[in-house]
Amino acid sequence: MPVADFEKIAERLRRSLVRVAAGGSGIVWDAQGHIVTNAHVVRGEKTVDVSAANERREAQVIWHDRARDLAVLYTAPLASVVPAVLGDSSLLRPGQLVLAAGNPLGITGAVTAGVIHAAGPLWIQADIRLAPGNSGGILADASGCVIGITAMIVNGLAFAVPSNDAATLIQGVHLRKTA
Amino acid sequence: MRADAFALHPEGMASQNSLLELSDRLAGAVEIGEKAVAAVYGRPHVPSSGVLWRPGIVVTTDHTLKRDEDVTVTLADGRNVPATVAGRDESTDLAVLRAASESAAAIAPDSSVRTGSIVLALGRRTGNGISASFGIVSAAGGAWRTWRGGQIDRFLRPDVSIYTGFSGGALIDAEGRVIGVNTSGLTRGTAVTIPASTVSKIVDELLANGGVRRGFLGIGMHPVELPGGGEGLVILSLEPNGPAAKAGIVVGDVLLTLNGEAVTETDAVQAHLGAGSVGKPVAAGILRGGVPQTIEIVPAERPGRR
Repeated sequence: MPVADFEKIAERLRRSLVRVAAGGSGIVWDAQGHIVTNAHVVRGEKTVDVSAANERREAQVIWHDRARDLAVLYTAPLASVVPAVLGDSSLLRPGQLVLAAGNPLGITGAVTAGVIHAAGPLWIQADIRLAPGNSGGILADASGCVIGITAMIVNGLAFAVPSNDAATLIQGVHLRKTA
Repeated sequence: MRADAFALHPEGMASQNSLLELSDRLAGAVEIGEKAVAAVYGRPHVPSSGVLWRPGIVVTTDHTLKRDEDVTVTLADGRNVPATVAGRDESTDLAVLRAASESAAAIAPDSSVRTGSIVLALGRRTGNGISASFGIVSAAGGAWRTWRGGQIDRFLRPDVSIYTGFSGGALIDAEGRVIGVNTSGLTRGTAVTIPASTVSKIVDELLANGGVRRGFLGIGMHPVELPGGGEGLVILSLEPNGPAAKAGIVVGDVLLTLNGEAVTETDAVQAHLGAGSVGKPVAAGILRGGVPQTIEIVPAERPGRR
């Protein structure tokens, strides 16, 4: 049943999602405590609050790139989260299902569904309902793999940084080893 | 990287789920449907979309076609070809172009489209290839008349985002078949879909006559309740030498039926005067001095407002 699978995948995505700063979202990138979000969510701060379930940590902003609107945070690993599984954002087809998970308008772990609108070279465009607070959150495919980081809404369309671009950029950053 | 991540998520990626099947099916529908969707360059700035209705025939929306010359269309294979305007009908917001295109849309059977059916709207823009949005049919009702007097076979409102440039594009089902042509030009706020059956009718009419000829009876009427129960339309005025006057209708007659169908409001009369009605006699059931009788009227072409 699609409904049962939908619930399962939504639940898995929520476990890889954190709240960042006042009202943004972040993706649990690995088991070492790295979290990926948008540069505009951390607004040039050196440290930001990160929380999931009942845990709250202060995280360091170890890298950001305003042009691609990406930032990497580091904190001692949170116990309640699971790292996201990355998909391949180069294989997207218009019309395929996508799910977004984020914290829009202060609601924690909201999940919406839509489709790929067009896969551009710089941004994934998705026909999916987002709101402020989804920034830095998950755009996933129908198998629950992260294919983008939701960054902005333009004329009702959701724009996300392709996960492949994010992975390449972040690999270039010297990620901290286990603390 | 993927292998690493997979290890952390043993139940992850590889497992086939029903949501993934639906996802593949929708992307597959777009791949089929997009072959029949073109970009139409007939206005400044943003192109609109069009549907390759038959080989050599492209349908788009009238309100997005701002010029009648220098129109081009970009086909699914990326070719940009010149198009000529074969006809346009503002009442149904449709325009028909001739262009060197081979593809033709596969049409979904009318009965397969119901409230709740999963649908995708397709549009094409320069360079970007195809764009899709997703939703369901939020209303599938009966025949209706547009604010410009166009007769549409079925009311179809998709709960789908119609982005800039999507007017004139196709609404497709999960098999990639075309349900109709989307337009934001007929209703305020939300878009509607002109069903394929209406599009085909208008295409035939525009190709044959360059415009849609609508029927005209030459009567002014008002709904009335009949003394013995029931409702009808009392004739209040007659166009001198109009079709009804010529047929012998007089002021004060009460119109009850057209071709056997009850008409209790003026919209019901208009429904009998759509594309293809000119010159075809209609049987008007009337009440004159309390006596029912039938008079044949031959609708003339409605005088143009262009």
